[in-house]
Amino acid sequence: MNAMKTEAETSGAAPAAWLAAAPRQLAEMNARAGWSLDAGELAAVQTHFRALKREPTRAEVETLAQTWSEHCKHKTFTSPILYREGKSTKRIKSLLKETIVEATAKLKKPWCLSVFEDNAGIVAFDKKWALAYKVETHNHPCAVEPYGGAETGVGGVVRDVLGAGLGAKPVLNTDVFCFAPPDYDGPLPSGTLHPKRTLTSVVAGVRDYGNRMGIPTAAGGVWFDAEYRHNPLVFVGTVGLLPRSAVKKSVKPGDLIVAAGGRTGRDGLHGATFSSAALDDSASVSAVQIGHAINEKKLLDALLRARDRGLYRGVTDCGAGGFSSAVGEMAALCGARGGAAVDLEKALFKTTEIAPWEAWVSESQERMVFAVPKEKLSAFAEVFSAEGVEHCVLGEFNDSGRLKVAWTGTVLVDLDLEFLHHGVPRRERQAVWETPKPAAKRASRAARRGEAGAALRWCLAHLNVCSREWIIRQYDHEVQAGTVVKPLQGLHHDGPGDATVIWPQAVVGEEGSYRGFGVGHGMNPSYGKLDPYAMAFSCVDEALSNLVCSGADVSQASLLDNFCWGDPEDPKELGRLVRAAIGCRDAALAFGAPFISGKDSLNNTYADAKGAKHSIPGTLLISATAPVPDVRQAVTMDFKTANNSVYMVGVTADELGGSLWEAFAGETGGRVPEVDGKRAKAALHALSAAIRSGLVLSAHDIREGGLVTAAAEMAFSGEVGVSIDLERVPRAKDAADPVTILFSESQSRFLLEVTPEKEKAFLKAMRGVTLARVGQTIANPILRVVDLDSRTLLEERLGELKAAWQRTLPAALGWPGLNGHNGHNGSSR
Amino acid sequence: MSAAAQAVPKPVGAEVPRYVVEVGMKPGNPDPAALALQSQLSSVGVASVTEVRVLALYELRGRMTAAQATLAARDLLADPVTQDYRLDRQAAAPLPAHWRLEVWLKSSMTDPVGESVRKAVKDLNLPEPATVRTGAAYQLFGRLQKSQADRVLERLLSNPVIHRVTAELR
Repeated sequence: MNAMKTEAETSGAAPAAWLAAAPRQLAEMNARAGWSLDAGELAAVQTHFRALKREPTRAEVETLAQTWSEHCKHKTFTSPILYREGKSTKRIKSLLKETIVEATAKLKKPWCLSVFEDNAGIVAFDKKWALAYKVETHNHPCAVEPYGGAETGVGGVVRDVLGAGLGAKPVLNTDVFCFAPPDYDGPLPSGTLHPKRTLTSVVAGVRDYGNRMGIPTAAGGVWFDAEYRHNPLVFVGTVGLLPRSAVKKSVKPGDLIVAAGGRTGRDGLHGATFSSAALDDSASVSAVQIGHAINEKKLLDALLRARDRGLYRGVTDCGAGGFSSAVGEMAALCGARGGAAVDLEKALFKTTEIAPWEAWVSESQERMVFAVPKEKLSAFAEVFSAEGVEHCVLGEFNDSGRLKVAWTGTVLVDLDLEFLHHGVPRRERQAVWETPKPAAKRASRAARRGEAGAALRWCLAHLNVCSREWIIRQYDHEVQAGTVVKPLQGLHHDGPGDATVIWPQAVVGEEGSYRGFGVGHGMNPSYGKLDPYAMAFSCVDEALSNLVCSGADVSQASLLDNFCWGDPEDPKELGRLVRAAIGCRDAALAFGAPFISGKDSLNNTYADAKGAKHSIPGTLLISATAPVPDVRQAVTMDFKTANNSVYMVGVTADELGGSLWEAFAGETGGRVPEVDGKRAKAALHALSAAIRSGLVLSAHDIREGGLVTAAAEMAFSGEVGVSIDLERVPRAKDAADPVTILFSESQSRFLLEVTPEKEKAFLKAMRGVTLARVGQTIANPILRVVDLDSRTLLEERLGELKAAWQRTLPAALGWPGLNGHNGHNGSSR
Repeated sequence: MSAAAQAVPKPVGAEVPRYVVEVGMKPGNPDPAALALQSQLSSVGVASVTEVRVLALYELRGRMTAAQATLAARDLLADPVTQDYRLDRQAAAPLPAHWRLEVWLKSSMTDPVGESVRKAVKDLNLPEPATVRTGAAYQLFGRLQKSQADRVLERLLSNPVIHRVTAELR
């Protein structure tokens, strides 16, 4: 290891003369090294080291830059914001604490075992087991190298769950993407990959990593909007199962710092410029790597065995910032003051071409850091060696209050932990939200009733509604044998499911229990363009509605938030973010569903040819999970048989702002759908209980494309016809024409199939909830809609509707011959 | 430390033998990767390619003989039922004129498949190679301009961030 290029320590952007540097010089050094520290943070570092009367080392500045990064510290979400809405102004001390965390604190739900403190949120599953759930984004790597970016994104979130508590066994992966349409034919700057390439490569990356690790990828979604063409969004999630006794981790002075898994290389050094010319074609040192799923699987197996034998006290993953973040975080847990001493040359390396500071911040994949009591080391070593996983002892945790790193005796880092974790200066940002003026009166939609059929087919074929079978079929969503309600449902297993239900007992051998859990998602950036508050409420409503439809108990639901936003220095963008966060809080409180974990990715912007900055549409993903007390009672969304009653829950109002109808008809200015929190909670909880009592045969929530789109999906998935009478639809006064009733996207609405013999019990269970019997299932394979004047408005053949719904994605990808199905597409009907 | 020193790839000099193993589908067996590429060619304005073949490439560097590399190819890298293999130093059966596009991971990239192959070769009781790198070769038959071949490489097959590529008319 002596061949290490220590001269690189002083090469490149060496932090020479920090103490004497003028702000401009600091800014130059910052830009050259890619630390992404702002002026206030650079000054804070300078002040700190001036007081110590010594220059910082490169490794120290790197450690601070990593630990203080937006990625690790969530500066925007935790810094003060001066928020102006209309004429009122409010000073927010910490957006996160005053919105999302506050809701959880107020709700005080007993199933929250570990929230906002660990690598994942942890909730109770049953008396013995808990679930860890984390969703992360990997946007920038996926924009640069979509296959490797998606793979390492999945690998990273799986490690988050391995590093939650003392480690959880992954039982489900989730994937949600935002891309430009794959058939986008507008201009793209050089270096930007075409969205089709991004989509196919990201799907391949998610597929290969999940499939190779043997984790089902079984829940997700895709949203298409040309505004994502420069900044694709990739959200990856993992749910893991762990014993409730393994929820809390600790670190004690004297515990060994042990790194296990992959070796450390020069991977993922952000913008670091390396002076060595020895590496032939690495002129652009890549921030993106190809994942090594097999290594991570071995790490997983060894970790779980060591966990169950009690061979370590604490664990965390090496993600952003590598060792510097992982060791720094765990050091903070040790004793009253925390501390760690590392001899970095003891790490295992892929290459000798690595400088010590690079080794400290390298983001090489598939590594975890453990706190191992000395007396357990030999047993720990045995377990990991048996799985073929390398490990090394880097040093010891202590209670010195300092993070010390040495390289063959030379000090690389000697930082005060208090300064490292709490020294980042808080800068107040400005945020503003102007409520848009109400639109002028719209033209009557009644005149367009003749276009209803065309609009329905257009909605079904829309990229944001159409079949995702081409993507889903690439994933192994059955591995581990616990996928009870699958992402594709219906007679031919190709209809659009709401939530996925997982029975995780097979992997832990608790075969006598039928308890499972559901996972659902909510996302609609179109609403967010009009009002981020309404979007946030709608996302929560959608995620929970999906859970309701599959038979989960939403009175015990938990939520995760993932914000992907534009430029936080733009007060308007930040105002939208604040409004979305307030929406999250209000929705969580209204539904009684606490947030347990979350993540934000800001600065999703691009500069156009003139240098102007453009932000992506503010995007919020809400992921939700809730227990399914008995998986045998889970239901799917496809109609089952003819001659059953079709019920509709919820009130339909003239809420078409951001809807598919507006896009179809070229309308603007509609009212964005809003959630009536109290009514929504009552409806969701009552319906959830009714479904769990076995009173409902099939259930589907009504979203993009409205009532008629949901009805079509249920009908063609089950190959059972349906007749709906618009006169019977519960509606507000402003929903007075058939087009509005069919295509409104009012929230908290459901279509249900109920057998005649269960109808009475169903109505009793739903007492107090607005609902009506709006029609029935029929043997004729058609979708029929009866207008308010009792005339037939629509009579569409299910086979044609389904074909329209299935054709879009393969066609947009340029594989029109590939219909995405497994041999039966119902076209015989 | 001793375990670490042992597993770190030893410096590779010019004198260390280098073998490139090519693995492709036997004639008559369907090749999904080739069909997928062929179906995508029209999207980058290439209509004149009559046939595509895809080969997996493994570059083995280490103190092993050609016979040992052949054993690794036969017993590990190729499926004996559906695939053929050959070492690049062996004479190939003559092929009609075609473009050969090669895509390799840059040396700065970790190559997970290469690492697994290195271990698997050792498990066959063959000398463990110092390094194994993986890549792919795409043989495009039919009339094709250099600019078209470059476009196929750039738009469909590689990413300059992680790959190095070659295009050669054979």
